[in-house]
Amino acid sequence: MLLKKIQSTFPIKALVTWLFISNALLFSAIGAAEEASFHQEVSENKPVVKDDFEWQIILDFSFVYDPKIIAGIEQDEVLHYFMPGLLVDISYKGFFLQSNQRRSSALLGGTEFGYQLLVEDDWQIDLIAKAYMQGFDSESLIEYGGGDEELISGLRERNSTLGLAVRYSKYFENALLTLDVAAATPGDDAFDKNVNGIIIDSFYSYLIAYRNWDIYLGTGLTYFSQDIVDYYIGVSSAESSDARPEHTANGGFRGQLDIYAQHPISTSWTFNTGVTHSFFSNSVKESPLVDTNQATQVMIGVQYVF
Amino acid sequence: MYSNVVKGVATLRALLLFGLLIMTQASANETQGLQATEAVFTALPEQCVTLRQGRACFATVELQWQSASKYNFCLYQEGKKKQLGCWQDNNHIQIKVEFESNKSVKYQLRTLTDDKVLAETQVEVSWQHKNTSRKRRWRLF
Repeated sequence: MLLKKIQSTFPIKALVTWLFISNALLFSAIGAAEEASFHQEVSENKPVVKDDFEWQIILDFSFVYDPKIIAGIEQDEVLHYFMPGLLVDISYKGFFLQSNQRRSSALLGGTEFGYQLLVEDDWQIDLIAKAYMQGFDSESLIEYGGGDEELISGLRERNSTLGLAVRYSKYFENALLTLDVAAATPGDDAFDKNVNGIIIDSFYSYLIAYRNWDIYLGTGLTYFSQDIVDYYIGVSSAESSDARPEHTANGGFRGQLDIYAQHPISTSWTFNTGVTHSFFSNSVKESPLVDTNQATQVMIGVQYVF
Repeated sequence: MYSNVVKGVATLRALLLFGLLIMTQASANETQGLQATEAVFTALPEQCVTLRQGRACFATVELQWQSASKYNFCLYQEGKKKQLGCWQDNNHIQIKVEFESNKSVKYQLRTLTDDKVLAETQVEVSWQHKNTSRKRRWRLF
């Protein structure tokens, strides 16, 4: 059941590819770092050097309430809420693998593989490869629970959307603004035609440090081009039925508001919790697959820091 | 032959004397230890943990001291002149102090008359993540 859930969020092919890339980077970086002299070139023109060898591994044990906008899907078993994760972060000479530590589960969900192109005092430009959207398939959705089975059954599997992006990051005193412009592809559609699109993802995060708490307030706005949106919530002629008429989706936006808090329990354990509210363009509701254009996700758990 | 015996006895004496000295020293240490444990000064929690190295750690720390003898004394945070409290003819205190520091802090009890340290205890500051140059951006979902 859990495997199917994972498959729904990350198809096996994509998962294996990501695991391969991650491990290759992890072990090659560790091997290279053992021989490295840790020398960094510093010049007046480049006040901030690229990241040296650093690593961190975190085990995450979180409970996540994660409803979908697809056909009223939400968890209906306790096990569905428990989403453990292994978060690996590593950097070496500008290359980095960066997990999303505020996010549990999905094994590699949110993990970014990147290279720092340009690093300055208060801004930088990176090349990024990451999964921008999670996939799903009808069986896993039905098993996840709560949805309209007739509406979902027989849908072709939707893959995760992998994107190659250029990211601009601007650092403020206690805040960070990022802008990704990504060329993205989820793979082939129902007619074996390769789907390609654009994703423009912006995010602003503000840190409030209160006593031993880190509280992050975040807001994001993301644009998904028509091809990408249609891949997920469009209904092709091959999939149409009485319950779901054929539908071609438009491009659209997703706005997000989130709050996340972290508090140390000991030198190894951290308590963390967060809430994210997402709202999508109204037009997504025109799809017969979509039940609502808003979703609130809640996470609470602990992390073990190695 | 005789000289060898004398030498042997002398060596044995020296060894015994050395052993006796060590035992005396150990005994003295034990006595000091007893005297030290007679007055117990503790801090709870002993450790304050922050998320990141270098960041100030906050805690409400309970300091407790108990001694067989009564003293006139004041409580100080090491490195600061202002006392956190003073007591007269007392052998037991229990006080809560607000801790805020990015490094370990010692608390001392000093006599009023000659500023002699009666006892001291420490609150250690630890962290989970080493302070690195890495600037990060994480997002929940």
